[in-house]
Amino acid sequence: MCLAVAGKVVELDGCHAVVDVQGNRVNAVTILVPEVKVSDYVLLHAGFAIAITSRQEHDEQHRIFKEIEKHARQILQD
Amino acid sequence: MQELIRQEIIPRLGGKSLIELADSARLDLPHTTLAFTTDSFVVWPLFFPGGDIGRLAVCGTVNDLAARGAKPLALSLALIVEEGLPMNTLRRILKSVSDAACQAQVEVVTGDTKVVERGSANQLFITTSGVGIMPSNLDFTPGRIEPGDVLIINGAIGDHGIAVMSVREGISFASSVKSDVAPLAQMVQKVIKGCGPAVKCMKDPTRGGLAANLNEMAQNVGFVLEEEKIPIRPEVQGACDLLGLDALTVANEGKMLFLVCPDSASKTLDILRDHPLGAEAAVIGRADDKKRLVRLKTALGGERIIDTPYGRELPRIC
Amino acid sequence: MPVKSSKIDTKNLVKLLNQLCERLADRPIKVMEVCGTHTVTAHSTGLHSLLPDNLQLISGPGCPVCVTPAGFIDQAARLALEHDVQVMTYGDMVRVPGIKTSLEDVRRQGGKVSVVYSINDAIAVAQQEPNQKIVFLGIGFETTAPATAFALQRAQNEGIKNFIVLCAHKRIIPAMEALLNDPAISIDAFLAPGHVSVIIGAGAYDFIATQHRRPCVVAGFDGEQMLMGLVQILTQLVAGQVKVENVYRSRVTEQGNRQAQKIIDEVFTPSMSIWRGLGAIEQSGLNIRPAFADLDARNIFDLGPPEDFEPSGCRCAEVLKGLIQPSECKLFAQQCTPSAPVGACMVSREGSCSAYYKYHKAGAAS
Repeated sequence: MCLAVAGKVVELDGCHAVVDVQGNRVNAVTILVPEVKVSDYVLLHAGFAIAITSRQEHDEQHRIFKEIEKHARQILQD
Repeated sequence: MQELIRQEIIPRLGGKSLIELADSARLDLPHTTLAFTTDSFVVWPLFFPGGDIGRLAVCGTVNDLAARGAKPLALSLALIVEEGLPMNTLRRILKSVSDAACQAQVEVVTGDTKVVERGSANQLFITTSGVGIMPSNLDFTPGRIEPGDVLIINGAIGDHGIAVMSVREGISFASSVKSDVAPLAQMVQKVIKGCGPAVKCMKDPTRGGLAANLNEMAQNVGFVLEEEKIPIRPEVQGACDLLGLDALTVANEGKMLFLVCPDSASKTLDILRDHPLGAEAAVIGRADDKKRLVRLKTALGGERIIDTPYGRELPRIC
Repeated sequence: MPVKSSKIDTKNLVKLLNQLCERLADRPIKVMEVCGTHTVTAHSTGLHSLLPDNLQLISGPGCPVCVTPAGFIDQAARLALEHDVQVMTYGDMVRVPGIKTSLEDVRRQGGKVSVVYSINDAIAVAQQEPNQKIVFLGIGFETTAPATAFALQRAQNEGIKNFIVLCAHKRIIPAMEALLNDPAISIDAFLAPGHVSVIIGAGAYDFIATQHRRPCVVAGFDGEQMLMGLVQILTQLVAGQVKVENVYRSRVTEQGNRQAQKIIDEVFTPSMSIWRGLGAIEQSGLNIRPAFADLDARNIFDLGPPEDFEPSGCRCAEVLKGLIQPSECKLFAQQCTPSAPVGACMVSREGSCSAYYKYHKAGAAS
């Protein structure tokens, strides 16, 4: 039910966008992310963009992973 | 569906061949062995990226023969046409049938046509039968599979199901995915010629995808698949993510699963990769002794069951 | 699409999880997730098979289809059959058993029921067929409520008079609070739903740490995210810390999506709502405001709140509260299977029972 996928905004006309999800072009309404621009990456749920995400998401993901790992190790050593 | 077949149809009609529930029946005649199959095509819509019901009808039937190791010989084609179907539509589909038959090197030798009133058929239904010649000293059945046999597929999964979904009403996305519908008999014949009895069983994973078809084959053995080895196009995975579908349950129409002896796995891959329809062939798992269980070793490093899909996840898909 | 990363060493995360759980070996640890998509991810990625023995990941009432009272389906069915309405809905609702019927049955009887991916498709149909009343079933948590809110505003602004909503949207925070206040339920920590959190913000869970002294970590929807979330929770438990943390930072902020919160507030008002299994919870539902009464099915067709009903022997209620595993229900895998479901937990793809059955093949490997 909370299925959402990330994709790139390739067309934008007012609050109607076309989002490219791995080569699939999906229509989306962008009123929930009014500051969105073409080339932004968005999180798409049931035809609505609900968040703007970063293209460097996977790098950030890796940073978070490293933080979690480090903190867990610290606690285990105590 | 399986319950309907097992509880109503088999008890009333089942002979030695029917009980096998194989893609094609084997008929041993005095000097030759035939494979014989039948199929119905109710796909909606009639036209989809990469093909149409006509091409699907020829390839689906040919592939059922190929799965039994047969060289397709002849097809029958029965059309149930809804009154009012535009003549151009019918012409396009018949041309597809003709082109696909030519590509598959098989002839449509007989047929039938019925026209029914508007509302009785969704534009067009096609029923086929197919006959092919099998090597009399070989057979390809789930009963021959042994633990340790290697599971190979000739390419990426899910293309057909997603291509059809993308042109259904009520699903507002435009996909670059095309159906993989293709006749596989020549590719399969090359594998049989090269590996002979080392090939134990074959199946084309159509409706229900890998999940349904592997569960059907898991009778005396089980299967374990490796998620990271299963080829899938990013666009197909993206569409599955969008629609909340498990790619393992999505239909394929140009794919064949092979169970081969471990010693012949490498040769099978080489033969497949040398063929245009097998360029992305990959080992995706193996048979084991956990009978009737199909398991997935996940990309996360865990394990879960791959069960037969239930319900009408993708109705009217082939 | 999950936040994919090829650099995350999940083997290491599993090892850390094991080491942390070993520190708490004297007691079973129960972490609850309250999102159907987390339920499915945990099963389909094989996450359950990687958890240490003393760590239990329980599915709570996170499947909106499962927690909607059965009577809602009967209300929708009546509208289709008695008022010639075209019912439009998200996928899973079609097979859910109501009290007396299902939308699939309604279809067989000639009622108009269709599935859409987005409410925008339903509005488009309403525009194309102005003489056909369209009733859209508004199901879902805060992730989905903004879409319904937008559709109602649009229908009102553009005079699309035949577009109507039968609303059953729910709010997750009051439900989490009810679970924490229920003495029969013991939860050590929450794994919070990533996409609901995109809307309501990570800060919405502060009360779990401050008032109820339990860790809460927001996680996204792939195996890596959930694994990272669990490691963070266990780290807190071992260290004796209690706070709200967020593994899904690339998509979830502290305050959430203000625009979405605003539009929800403009169109809906929090109300008492009945949850299958949990009963009536104050402020846990969203009712359409009087300003949109002309588009509210409950107003137009004079419908009260939907009746709740539990088929005899069905233990969905206990499953939804995380009190029992699906396999502990006598009907599970016997009379209640995915092809012949008795309760909602088995019908919905995201229901605990359906996920358990599908990915663990009831009766086969554990």
